[in-house]
Amino acid sequence: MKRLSITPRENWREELEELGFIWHSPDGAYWDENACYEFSPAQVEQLETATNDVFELFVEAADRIVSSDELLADYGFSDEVNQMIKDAWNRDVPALQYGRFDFGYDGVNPPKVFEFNCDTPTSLYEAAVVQWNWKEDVFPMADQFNSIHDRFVARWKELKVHLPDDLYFTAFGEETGEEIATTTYLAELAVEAGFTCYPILVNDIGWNEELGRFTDMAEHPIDAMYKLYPWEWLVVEEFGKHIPKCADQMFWMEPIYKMLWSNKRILVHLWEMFPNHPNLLPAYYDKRDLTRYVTKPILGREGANVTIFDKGHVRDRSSLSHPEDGQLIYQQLYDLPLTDGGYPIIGSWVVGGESAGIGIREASLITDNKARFIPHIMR
Amino acid sequence: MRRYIKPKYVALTGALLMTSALVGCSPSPVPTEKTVIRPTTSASTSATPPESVRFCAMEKNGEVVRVPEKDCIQTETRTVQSSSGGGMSPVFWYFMGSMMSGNGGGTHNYYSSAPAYGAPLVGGSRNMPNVGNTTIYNAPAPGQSMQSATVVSRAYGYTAPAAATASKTGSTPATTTPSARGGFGSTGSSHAAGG
Repeated sequence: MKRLSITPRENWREELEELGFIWHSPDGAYWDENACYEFSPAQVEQLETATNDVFELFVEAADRIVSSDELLADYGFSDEVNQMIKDAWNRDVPALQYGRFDFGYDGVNPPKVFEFNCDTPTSLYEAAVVQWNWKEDVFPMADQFNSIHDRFVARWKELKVHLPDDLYFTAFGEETGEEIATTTYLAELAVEAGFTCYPILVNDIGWNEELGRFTDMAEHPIDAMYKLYPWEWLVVEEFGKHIPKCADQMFWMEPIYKMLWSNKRILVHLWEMFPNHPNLLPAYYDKRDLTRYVTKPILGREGANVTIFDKGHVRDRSSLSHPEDGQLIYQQLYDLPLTDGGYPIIGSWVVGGESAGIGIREASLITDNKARFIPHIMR
Repeated sequence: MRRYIKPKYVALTGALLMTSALVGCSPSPVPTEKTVIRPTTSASTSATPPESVRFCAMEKNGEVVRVPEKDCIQTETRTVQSSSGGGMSPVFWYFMGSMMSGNGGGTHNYYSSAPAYGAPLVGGSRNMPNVGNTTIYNAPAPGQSMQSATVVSRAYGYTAPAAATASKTGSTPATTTPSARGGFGSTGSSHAAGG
């Protein structure tokens, strides 16, 4: 795992925009091709194995949590949400089973998982498509740990027999365009797999009392919907109370049990269930015997409310704060390798429950919304 | 050791916003070199690519319309800009048009591959087959409402949802009783949903 300083393509902005990658420089630089990372095949295999192993841990953990009222109660969801989670898990409802593990990795030792972004993961398009395009331009003879796109298409095809042909795709129209574009990309993958896709903004979704169904803008009931909008928001918003009423008549992608995996309580549960697993970091609801640790909220995103403590000192603190992100967990600090560009974090994708490729972001110690995406090669 | 081969995605170069991907058509063959599929018209299939001209969307007489950049009034609160002449997907335009019409807010600057203002595509029909005879063009014409973007196209098996009524066009609504709306989305106005 080496960081290479390289010269950006002369027309890199045009190249990116040609791909529809419209959020490459929202505040300064997000996409950064002044450098890239190089991995050996052995390192890629190590990441791939870790990703598959950790996903299995999450599956096993969900199995145990869903079958234990005590563990499930730990999450503080309503009874109705708990029931929907149980139903979705036990029925094995259709799911893309995709997400991004954030790993600490030094190129030698086992990768350690920081969290699983599996409900509304972003940085997908740049990992799946943009960095491949860059590699083809800049390192055409090299390879890349990246089969993300193909695996998505394959997964959508697998789901074809389980889902209606018509899928709705919803997102909230935030300002960078990232969420809209990511949702559009997911829709295009589904179309490639043979679905017909319809867009609808989150706030345009209707509730029809007569039908007892969520509806589109022309009063058609929605049978299946992909959402880039967190479950924990959906269930507490005004229409959240209607979700259980039609839970048997509508597929949500991803299913509601993703509320377990995207909640950082799972990190505590994982450490309890699989202590000393080589890909896990100790995590607790309190400090215990940790001297170097990270506190992060159970529902935090983009590094919000994260603080790093190192032997009694605050080493770094997130500038983003969302007080409503909930209780803190304590996770042992992982010493990310320091490079010329900062600290790299590996975003390792699973699609269909299998390792599919990586994207790398560099930031300060806390990987927040100012992190830069650095492409990679394998050779 | 598994090899990680090139993703079989023709749209790697037109990817996200490629119209062909949203028309329910078969994926195009994997290109051996970079290929950007652009919408073309019957009048322009052998012509030069669309001129690359920036445009923006702005509010005008209560509607959000697409105008050439030179006419763009940047003091307007909502703008969309384009830097190239490629195609955008109906899904994208639906979202964008919806945002423009009031669900969003603040200033939006999108450097995306929306179609060029003044390109042949926008003059006449906006249902434009590409070289594979599968692509529809689906951006709003200059001066037309952003909300009109996805209304126009119904071609090659794809039923485009109307911008204001994203739905299964052609089928009968299940009810005429109006649904309540706006019950989702309140948290999204203050948080990023992606992580």
